[in-house]
Amino acid sequence: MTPAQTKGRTLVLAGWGGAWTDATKAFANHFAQEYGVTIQYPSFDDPEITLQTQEQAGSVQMDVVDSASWISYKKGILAEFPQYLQDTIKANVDPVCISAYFIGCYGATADVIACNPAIVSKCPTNAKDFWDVQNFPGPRAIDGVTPDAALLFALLADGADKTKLYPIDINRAINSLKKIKPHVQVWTTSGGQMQQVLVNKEVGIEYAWNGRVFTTKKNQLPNLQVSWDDSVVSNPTQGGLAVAKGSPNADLAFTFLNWWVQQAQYQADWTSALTYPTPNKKVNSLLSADVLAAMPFAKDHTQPVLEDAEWTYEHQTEEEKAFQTFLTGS
Amino acid sequence: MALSRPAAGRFLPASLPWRRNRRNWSPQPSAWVGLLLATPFLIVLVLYVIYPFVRLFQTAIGDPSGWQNFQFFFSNSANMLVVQITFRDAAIVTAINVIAGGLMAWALKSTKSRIMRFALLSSIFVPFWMGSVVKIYAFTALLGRAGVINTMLQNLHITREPLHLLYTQPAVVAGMVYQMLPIAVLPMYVAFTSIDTDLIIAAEGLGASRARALLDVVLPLAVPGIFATLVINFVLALGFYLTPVLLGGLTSPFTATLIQQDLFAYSDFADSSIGGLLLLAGGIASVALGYILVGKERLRRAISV
Repeated sequence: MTPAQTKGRTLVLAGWGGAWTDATKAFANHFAQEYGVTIQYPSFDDPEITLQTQEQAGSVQMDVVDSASWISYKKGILAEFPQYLQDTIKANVDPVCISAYFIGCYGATADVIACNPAIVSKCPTNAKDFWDVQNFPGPRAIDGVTPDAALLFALLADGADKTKLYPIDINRAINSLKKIKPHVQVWTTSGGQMQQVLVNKEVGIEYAWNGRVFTTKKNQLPNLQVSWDDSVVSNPTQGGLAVAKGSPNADLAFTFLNWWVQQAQYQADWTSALTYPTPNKKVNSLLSADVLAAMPFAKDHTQPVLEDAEWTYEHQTEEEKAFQTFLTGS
Repeated sequence: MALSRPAAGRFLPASLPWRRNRRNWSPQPSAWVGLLLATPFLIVLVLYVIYPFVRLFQTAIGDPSGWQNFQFFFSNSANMLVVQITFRDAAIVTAINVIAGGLMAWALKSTKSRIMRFALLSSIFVPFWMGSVVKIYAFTALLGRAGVINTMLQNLHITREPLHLLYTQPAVVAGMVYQMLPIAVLPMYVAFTSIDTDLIIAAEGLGASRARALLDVVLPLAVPGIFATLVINFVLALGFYLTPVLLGGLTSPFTATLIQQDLFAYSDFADSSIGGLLLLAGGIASVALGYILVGKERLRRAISV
């Protein structure tokens, strides 16, 4: 659609809140001005769960899902892209990022080891060191938002082969986690908390999202050390920017995605704010060296282990309940 | 006897001329009028209490497995642990609050000093007026590794390493005790004010020791108020959400946290409904127990004098 056709309409763009939504807002406001559209930015702990609830209630109230995962795709709550949009995507992004239901290679997040030398004498750089409380003493925190990262990290600490982590041996992972549990002060439940526990000096060593670590290092703790050894990352081809199935403004949402995927500079700005990747082929040439180095797939650090959302989709309940029992038990 | 007896239960004889063609007037409105007056409230009750409750129950026995949802919920050890923690922590918090709050309430009643009274009242009411998020964050500042308590202990050379205080069960209990203390003090204070302290003097005059007088004379009079406080505190503590989330974290979740997770992380509506029903059942059971133990009238009087 052209700006003349979209003028005066409203688009609902559901996101994750916080720094993420701020960056998306800065991006999408250009579209709003260019196309004369009003954009609303409701934010949720997890927008796709909200979408699922709305779908069940028979009243979908969001148009763009920023962003959706493999789980949403498998559950069939994402709208299929029209042909013109698929063509634009094909012209602007790497073939691996292409899907008919989402624009991939967007927002992939890695868990890395962050360490504050002001609190601990020696910084662990890999999973084995992280577990070695004798040689690397100090209070620790581990990402508890979803179990995947913690389970994979625990397997790596237990000496599992990096290339054979899937299918995840839940029992082995939990047993490994049990060894470190007494030394973990916090199992963080949000990106905000990941930053807070570092800044408050609640912990000195943390397994946390690379974007949050980057922001904390940039703004509060310049001496923070980051290690990419034994990092894990959400699979960039399993999810991305999507349109809700049953969206009341699907045509406008597709127009927005069609515009979005072509904006290399705005995508570069978004990535610079969060260090999470964006898909346009030209983005990488527009990023500064320190942002590039802080991103999950930078060349100069160890490549993270790819999470498999397909496995998570199939074992979600089992995995979640095992993790919850582990956390709650003594 | 020449005088005829008036009909029973009538103030005015029906035979008075100006009353003859009227119905009897009664100061009590009829049941219909009462119902009519209560209608707005009843509509609200049906819409916002009964209907959601029915839906909650329907969801609990709905998808994916009907009545078996309950079986799955209870056979899940994680769920059971969370429920146990909820009831145990609620009981601990209630016990601490009733003892500490009881002492405060009695001090408030019996003190003659204005300063003491002011200090007690302000220590009860000032936290009561603060937002709960502010109160909880104050606790994170107190209990953190670099927080007030740890810094103090280390400066006084009591501990060498900072203690792990935040994100533990005791942190949750401490936070809840602090938030609910006013709710324990106030009903007990109300109940205690109706106790005549001269009774102690009388008991002592009859030869009882002070302890004996308090135990045998004052305590029985205070029991309904204490039980009412127990019930109120326990029921409120069961439903706590924010404090366990912020001070306890993932390792000490409450049932409310479980409900939140089931809803917003797994979109498991049946499990979250069962969690809700469980809290509701716990609340109803403790109120019922309170009724049985102290009796409805005394309970009501204790909290509404």
